Amino acid sequence: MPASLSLYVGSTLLAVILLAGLFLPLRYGATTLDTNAVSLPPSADHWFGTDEVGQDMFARTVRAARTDLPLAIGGTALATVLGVAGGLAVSSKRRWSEWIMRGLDAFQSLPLLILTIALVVISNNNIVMVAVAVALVSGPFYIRIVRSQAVVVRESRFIEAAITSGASTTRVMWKHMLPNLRAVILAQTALTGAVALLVVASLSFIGVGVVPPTPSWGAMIRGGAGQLVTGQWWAALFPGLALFSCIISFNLIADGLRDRAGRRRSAGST
Amino acid sequence: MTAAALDPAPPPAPAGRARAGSSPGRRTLRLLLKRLAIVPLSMLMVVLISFFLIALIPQSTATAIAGQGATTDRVAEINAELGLDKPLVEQLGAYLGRLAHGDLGTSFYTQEKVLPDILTRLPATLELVVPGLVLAVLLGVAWGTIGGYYAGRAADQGVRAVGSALQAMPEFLVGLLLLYIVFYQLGWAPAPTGRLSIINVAPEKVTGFYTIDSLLAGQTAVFKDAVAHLVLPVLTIGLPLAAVLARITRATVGEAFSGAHAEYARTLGLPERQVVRYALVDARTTILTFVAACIAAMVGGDAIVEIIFNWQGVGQWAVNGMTSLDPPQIQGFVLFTGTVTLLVYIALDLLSMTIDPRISLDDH
Repeated sequence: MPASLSLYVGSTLLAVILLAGLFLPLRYGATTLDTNAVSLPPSADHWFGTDEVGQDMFARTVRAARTDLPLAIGGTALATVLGVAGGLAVSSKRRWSEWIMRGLDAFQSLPLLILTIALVVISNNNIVMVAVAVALVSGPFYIRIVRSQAVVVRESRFIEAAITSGASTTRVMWKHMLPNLRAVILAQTALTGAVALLVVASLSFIGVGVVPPTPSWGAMIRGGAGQLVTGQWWAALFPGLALFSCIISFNLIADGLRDRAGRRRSAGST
Repeated sequence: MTAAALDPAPPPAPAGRARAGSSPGRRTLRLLLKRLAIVPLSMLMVVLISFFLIALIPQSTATAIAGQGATTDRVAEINAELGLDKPLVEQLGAYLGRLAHGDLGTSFYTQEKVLPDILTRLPATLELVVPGLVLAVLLGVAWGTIGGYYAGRAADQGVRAVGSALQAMPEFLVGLLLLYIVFYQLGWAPAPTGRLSIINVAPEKVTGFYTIDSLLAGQTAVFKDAVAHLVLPVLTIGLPLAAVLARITRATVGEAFSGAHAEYARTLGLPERQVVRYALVDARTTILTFVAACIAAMVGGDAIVEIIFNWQGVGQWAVNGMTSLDPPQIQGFVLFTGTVTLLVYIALDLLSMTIDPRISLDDH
């Protein structure tokens, strides 16, 4: 897919899902129980069917974007701050940056996703901790990516020139390093969005973080899994499709950004 | 853990530079020793992490275990029971003392020893994870090589489209989709009741692997049942990982195909089969690194797959420990997975040194 098309498709899809979650008026409430409408298949009335307690799956699937996406985006923002600041910091040639990298190795060898479960449980299912969990799981990758580019940029002539002309470290970082890392940071942020959404969904699938009755795709899929094996496919399929669409949107945006940056670079070098 | 979250973390690269002029054999030996020398240090780090994970947040742990509305007496009682009321140094001393005797602690809830608890569940997890990884490697490498070979053409585009769709699917979706189609619609796979159907009794324990044990006991029906229960979870682990591995292989192999030595090999008139082989040789260190990262991520079991298929392996056990906040279980799990991860990365370093003499492991 051409870069501009992936960008366009990805961001449109994501925007539609987010805006629908926030503003789309719904016929049924997302947490309204209806004992007369239990486990109904999709119909003109209930587009996505109903679950085993008679909640409208369309309303729940749409409204889940209200919690899941902001959490994923918040977590991504945290990971980005951590990744950019951390990545720039450890790109310095000092000795401690090497030590931090070794520490990061050890940290990443831990079963992070599993450990974040404990983190969220300890905080009494505070959903802010879900965003922190996202940052902990994806932050280290982010730091590595930023660092790997920063150590290349660091060796450039213009950085040398800036330092020679007496620019402060802060100025070099903000005015000279950061703009040259923009492409990598943008692409990595989109990619982190996909991972973030996965972490949010995995946690609520396991049963921590966003828990019912608040609609969230992960928990809805877990709930629907039990019905799936008896043939009621809709309770798991629609939240699954929503999650899939969002993750693929983030990936498309990341692909588009990366391709665009790659093309500009090759056009610039010739 | 899901495939997309599993991008390879580079293995811990040790310091140490080969002295110029020493013979290759001695050089390798020096590197080997240097690599092994940092093992105790890394081990200590894992132990400390597992300790401080719980020890540094004592109040909230006990409060969370006791639940909301618990009396301060109850919280104090839990703190005392877990030894969290003692000074930190004393706690660490006691912890290290227990570890020295191979005692990873006792579960706060079930009163079971943590290490035996892990070890009895390990065969179930390995029986699932090993075939899953093998499938991922075979499929992913073949898939990526085809993509790299036909770079830019229809075959490549198709392979990439399937790959990116699969990568955007969380593992639980893949698993549920397989369950619905293969179990419910087609009826080809058994219900997700764990490692065996309810009517079958586990074979007498020799290795803990049901497939092996049933054969040893001569129970072919149980063997077939065990294999049938393995198919879907193995696919659930293998397919998403294969997609990630395919992307990595495609990138490295594709580069090798467009590189100078592939061109040279073709100019020499070598058969295409051989050109492909050379390209794979070029890509194998990258692939190996990723596979090691996967193994490391999987030793703790694949919690989500184990939950979907009710596998009762290490992963499911760990998730239970986390959600019920069982401190010894959390510590034991971290210690166990941390140690195995460490060993896997050491094995990776040694293996890549053996197969790729260009790697001197002095930087990354």
